[in-house]
Amino acid sequence: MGKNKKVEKTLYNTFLKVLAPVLLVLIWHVASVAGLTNANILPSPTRVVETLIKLISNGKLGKNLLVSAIRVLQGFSVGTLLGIILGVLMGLSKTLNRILNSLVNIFRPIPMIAWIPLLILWLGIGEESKIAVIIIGTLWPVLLNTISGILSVDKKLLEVAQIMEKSRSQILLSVILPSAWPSIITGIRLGIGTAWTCVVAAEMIAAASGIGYMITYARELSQPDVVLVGVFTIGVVGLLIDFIIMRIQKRLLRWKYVQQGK
Amino acid sequence: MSREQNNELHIKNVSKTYPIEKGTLQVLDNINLDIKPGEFVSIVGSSGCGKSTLLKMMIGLENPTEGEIRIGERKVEKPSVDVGMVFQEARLYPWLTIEKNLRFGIQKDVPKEEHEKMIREHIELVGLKGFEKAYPAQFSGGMKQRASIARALIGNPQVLLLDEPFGALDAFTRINMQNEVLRIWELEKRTMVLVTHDIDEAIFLSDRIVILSERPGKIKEIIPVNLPRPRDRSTNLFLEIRKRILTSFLGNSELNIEYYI
Ligand SMILES: Nc1ncnc2c1ncn2[C@@H]1O[C@H](COP(=O)(O)OP(=O)(O)OP(=O)(O)O)[C@@H](O)[C@H]1O
Ligand SMILES: [Mg+2]
Repeated sequence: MGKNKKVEKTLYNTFLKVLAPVLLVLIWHVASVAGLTNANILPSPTRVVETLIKLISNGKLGKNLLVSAIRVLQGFSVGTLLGIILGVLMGLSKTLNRILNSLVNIFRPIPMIAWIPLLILWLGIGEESKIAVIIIGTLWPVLLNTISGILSVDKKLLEVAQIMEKSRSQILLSVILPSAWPSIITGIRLGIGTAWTCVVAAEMIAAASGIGYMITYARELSQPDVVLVGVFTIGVVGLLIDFIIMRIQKRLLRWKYVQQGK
Repeated sequence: MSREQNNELHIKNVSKTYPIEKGTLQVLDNINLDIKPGEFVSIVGSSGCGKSTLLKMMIGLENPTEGEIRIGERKVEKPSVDVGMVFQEARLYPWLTIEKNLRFGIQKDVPKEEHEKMIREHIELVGLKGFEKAYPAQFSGGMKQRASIARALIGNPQVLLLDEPFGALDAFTRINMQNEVLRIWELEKRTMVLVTHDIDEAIFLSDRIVILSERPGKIKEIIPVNLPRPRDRSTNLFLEIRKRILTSFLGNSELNIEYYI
């Protein structure tokens, strides 16, 4: 009986989750069929789905998506690594924190897109400039969350390690880093979100491949259906990435999710 | 081993002053106390009189402003594994299972092969068998405190300091824990210094009870408890010592009023 209730509840929750998107598509569909929309600006949902299938089967979507994904992966991994290392150092050393803090505060508010022209000038329109944008985009959230994670370590837990005469490196690895992990992972989650946004922006400004390029090119050819497929793909991929990171987070931080009473 | 032979604790002319925003705050004033190896000493005193500060200096997390603390020949200036401490809060590492929390407490010169056995023994000692793989978040307050005691004991300190370890527990759990600590102390005979607000707890466990005055804490009186263990909390001798401690705290007048009521 208890089990049935649970299934019922999950079903109900799923229903609530998909309700709004389904309604939206339904309204869109009805409006298209009734001729309320201009098909040259807003093609019908069926048309968009047809285009989607076409782009999948001729490999265009997959190819562009792959190009973008590789760029994100490269920039994101460098940015994350840089952010964690710099963040740990800045969290541990008050002096370094003071030295670099003003720099961080000046550069952080600059929107990613503002970097793109400059980076193209410096690095050309090849892969380097796009990856550099992603690195910068990933760096900030990872860096700031790592610093705050390191700084928020409980003094009381440090005292426990101190009275056990643990070495500095042991304290870092066994006390400071584990207590900073939740915050670092939050930073990584925000970072990969920004990385994904950055790659699309960079590709829309200057590129010959990638999902952002696909959208811009389709706009030039006045193909709103392709534009829409591109836009939705970006959203779905973003959702997927977040879902995966959440799963990893739950696995890594199992101790945070356990309940009392086993 | 040399440190097993000489671990008498000497507190000599110790005073402690903290710097605060406006000037300084004297917390302890000229404390003198010697604690013999294997002795059980309790420290009682009103809130803020410097009990935790005294323990922190005994373990080297704080240093005296004046005077010195020695354990055997060693002057205490920084933490050492000779001395262990159980804090008022369990202070377990939430990201480690109980087993791994205990492993963290093992001294580094202990060979790896012995770790498993030591962990098993200490988990059994505090009655947490079957919970090896559980995380602290899954524990009740009493279980956490027991795990915390086990972690302090597994480091095999010659002196164990306990700072109000049962303060947050309900009366029944507290009595259970007192029995457990007594059992462990009788089994292992290491020096224990307990800070507590619970007078009965102090009488039940200690060889001597140190009464501190209000801030700045001075030693007001040291009361020996020469009763055979385990002690019955309702005997006349027990109650007599209780009365003596209360008198020391409140002065005669207030106690007399209580008699007439
Ligand atoms: N690091 C510090 N800096 C400044 N003042 C401090 C510091 N640590 C403790 N104090 C002050 O010293 C006094 C004694 O503190 P302590 O924690 O030793 O008291 P206590 O006897 O353990 O009290 P309680 O029974 O409430 O735990 C308090 O007034 C406290 O505010
Ligand atoms: Mg205290």
